[in-house]
Amino acid sequence: MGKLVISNLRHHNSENFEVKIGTLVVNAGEIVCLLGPSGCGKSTTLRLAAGLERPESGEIYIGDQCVASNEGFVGAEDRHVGLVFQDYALFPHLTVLGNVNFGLKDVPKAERNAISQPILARMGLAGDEDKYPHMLSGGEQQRVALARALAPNPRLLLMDEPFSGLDTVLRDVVRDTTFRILKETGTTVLLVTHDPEEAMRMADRIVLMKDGEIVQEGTPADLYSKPASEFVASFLGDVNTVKARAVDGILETELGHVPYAAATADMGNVEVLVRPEAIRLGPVRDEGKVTAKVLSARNLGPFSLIELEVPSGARMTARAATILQPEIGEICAISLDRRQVFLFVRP
Amino acid sequence: MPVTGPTHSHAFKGRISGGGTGARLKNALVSGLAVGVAGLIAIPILVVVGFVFVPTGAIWAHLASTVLPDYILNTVLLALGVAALVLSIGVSTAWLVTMYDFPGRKVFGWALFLPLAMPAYIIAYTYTGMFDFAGPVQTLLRDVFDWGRQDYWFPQMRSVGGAALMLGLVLYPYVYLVSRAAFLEQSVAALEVGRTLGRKPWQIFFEIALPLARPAIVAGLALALMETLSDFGTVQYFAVDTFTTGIYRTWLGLGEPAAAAQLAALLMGVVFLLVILERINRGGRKYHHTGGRYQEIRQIPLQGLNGFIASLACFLPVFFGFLLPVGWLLNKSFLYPETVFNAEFPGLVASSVSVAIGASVIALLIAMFLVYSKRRDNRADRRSVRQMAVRVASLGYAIPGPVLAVGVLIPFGFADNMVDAFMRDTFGISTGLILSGTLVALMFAYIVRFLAVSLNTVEASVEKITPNMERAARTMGVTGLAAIFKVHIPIISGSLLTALLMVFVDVLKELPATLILRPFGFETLAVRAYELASDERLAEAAGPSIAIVLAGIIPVIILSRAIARSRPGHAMDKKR
Repeated sequence: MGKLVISNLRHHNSENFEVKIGTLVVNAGEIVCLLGPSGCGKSTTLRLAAGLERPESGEIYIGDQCVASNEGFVGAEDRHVGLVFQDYALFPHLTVLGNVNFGLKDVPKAERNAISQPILARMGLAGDEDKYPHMLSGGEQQRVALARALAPNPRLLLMDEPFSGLDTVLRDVVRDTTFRILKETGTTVLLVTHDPEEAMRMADRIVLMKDGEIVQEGTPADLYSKPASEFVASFLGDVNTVKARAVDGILETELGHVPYAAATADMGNVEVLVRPEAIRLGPVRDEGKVTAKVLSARNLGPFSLIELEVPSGARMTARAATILQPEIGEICAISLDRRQVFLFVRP
Repeated sequence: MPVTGPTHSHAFKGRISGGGTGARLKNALVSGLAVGVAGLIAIPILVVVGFVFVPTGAIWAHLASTVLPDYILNTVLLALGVAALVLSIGVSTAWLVTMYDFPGRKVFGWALFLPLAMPAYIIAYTYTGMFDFAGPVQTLLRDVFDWGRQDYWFPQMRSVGGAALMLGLVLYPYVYLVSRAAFLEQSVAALEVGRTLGRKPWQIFFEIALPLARPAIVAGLALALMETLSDFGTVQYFAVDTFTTGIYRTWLGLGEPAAAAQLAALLMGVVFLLVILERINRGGRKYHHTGGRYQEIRQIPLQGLNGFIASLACFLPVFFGFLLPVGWLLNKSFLYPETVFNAEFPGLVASSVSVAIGASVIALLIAMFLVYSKRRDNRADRRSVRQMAVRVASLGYAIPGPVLAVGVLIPFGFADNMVDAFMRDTFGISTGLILSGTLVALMFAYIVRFLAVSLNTVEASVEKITPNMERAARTMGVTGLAAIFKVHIPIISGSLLTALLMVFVDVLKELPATLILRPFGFETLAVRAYELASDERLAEAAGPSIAIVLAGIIPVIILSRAIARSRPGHAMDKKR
């Protein structure tokens, strides 16, 4: 398995939208998720890594080989990378075995099955070799697509929204199976997704893109708890926008005061982002605490979403374990988890 | 809440409407009418098939020992030649305009349909006019090189090869049409995965794109071959003996209707075999794609020599199949304006247009009746009587023109004789021919042959009105006739017009059935063009021919617009 390095990449896609990537590295055996909203350039980046398009400038290395630079370009057909699409793109005129063997053209015919059979067995597809793609369920089709991509032992596996064609129940199962197989085989993976939850479940590292550029990269935990910008914070999870006044070392928010090292008095009035689970509700005991009225509460199984109205009239959403769900109309005292309060100064 | 009386009874009535005695009678009546119409349409087929069992004795043995081997050989050669031509032209140009960008690609996208407007018998005599010994090309060669008659070899247009070339040039759009649709529809992702699995572009074409498009291509080929087998004008003009000319000659030359019908049955058997083969081919494996998302195809730009070669490859079929013959016809019409501005021309147009309008309107009305009777059917299964009626009624398209003519004339002549004999015996007056030899027979033949065209168009458009749309209209209180006018008509009106136009043009172009079935002295543009060309008055034939070709461009425009709109997910899903 090889390492993928993209550097100083600049490219316009077919809608004349520019993708600019300083450095993007996927280490051998690592699963990196390229996350971002629709039209942020993540699929274009994937296509460039696959060799389906030639970048206008910049270098791409797979392993020790330079596959794209000003001097030369290695096309998709010679890159030895695997590709899995959202719609799987199985060949409907070939059987499951035919699909998986398709990429083994350099292997003598007699030896192909010896390579593909164990992979199919690992995917739980033993016995389905002679079926045609339309006879399989969505989850099975996805596994055939994965088997086909892995069979030629690619240096790098590229996945474009590989799970979004599946319904929610199936998606979790297939995702877990895929994750296990990718880790067992030590595959180097660059996975494109627009779903932050999927990225957080799959990725060793997340690279978040916006408007053609990388805005932050790091482990899922890093991105969630240390977002570099308002965009990152709100893309990775729900946030409440809360009015506040900054004094040195403290944020005086509508929901109470929290210590915040980066806050300085000259910032004045600011807006801070607060995750719903950072708003803790409790019984009203002492006078000093901010109170809020419960407008509604929706039970989502293990936890509830609670809509609150604070004295200023602003509405907030809190998330709490279902067993702690308050009554509608109840007045609660609010306390804030300071680790999930983010201040971003707008330029 | 307690259910009140009136509400309850109302709901009850609504639920079982159509279950009363009156409604049941009406239901049976509609089904009966649908079966009656289908039965009428099926008469020519039944008659031709029925004649297989009529002994014809010596004439059949005579045919078998003299001309039949030639008929078979020529027909097979013709079919093979046409198949090779339409496949190579149709598939390659479709692939080029779908996958590559080169100068003129957008224009070629629709221009490649144009030869569809050119009836084969017209292109046949324009080419004869151009490339015959006395034609401009050979004359020029002789002048330039100072050759005499014996000094050079030039391909003979009037041959099986020539006929195959003519038919191939005007029938390749069938294959182009379906392959282009198939290539447009195929998943771009599948082709890209093919690339990452180490395939070069030409390998992707042969290993992925072509197998995926195969069912569609076979369907287009089957259509082109059906047209080839039913062609009469070209082979008759080139004096190539095939089944169609054989049927014509056995009938009118030898005066042997039974033997002609048996030849016709044989030909029809081959045509239906083609249809069945196509169905089997389509029904076997399901080639539809496993994924639902469509990506826009990014055409690969071809520059320099490659771009020029691609442009040339698309230009040549358009040039030889349309521009050159049309140019020749226009040139003749301008050189000899009397071919258009003469005493008989307005009459020709009037008679052609009136039968074409008559046939297209009747075909549309029948098609609407059949389609709606099927839609209103309580039985949803495929074997219901009304479903069968629709299927049977669309069989006529597969019957070659001369076969159809035989199948119409025999029963109509029989009926006329019966009526005439009855009237003479009972009242002492002779009625003569009421059906055969009149416009009734001709109109009937047109409707049998082209009903499938209106049926397919109407059916496809009515299917766009989903039951949920009707239900939604119903919840808003729009039902019955109001629903027809407010929901159905606005949605299908465009398609109804299309159905009218397509049949109109098909009737205008139709030659063999018109030639055999027309009343004495009745001339259409197609018949006149054919007669003039047969008499070697090629320049004079240009007038009626150009009129037919110009009318033929209408459905080409409709088709190319329809296919331009057909790409699923077009302009949607700009994600990347």
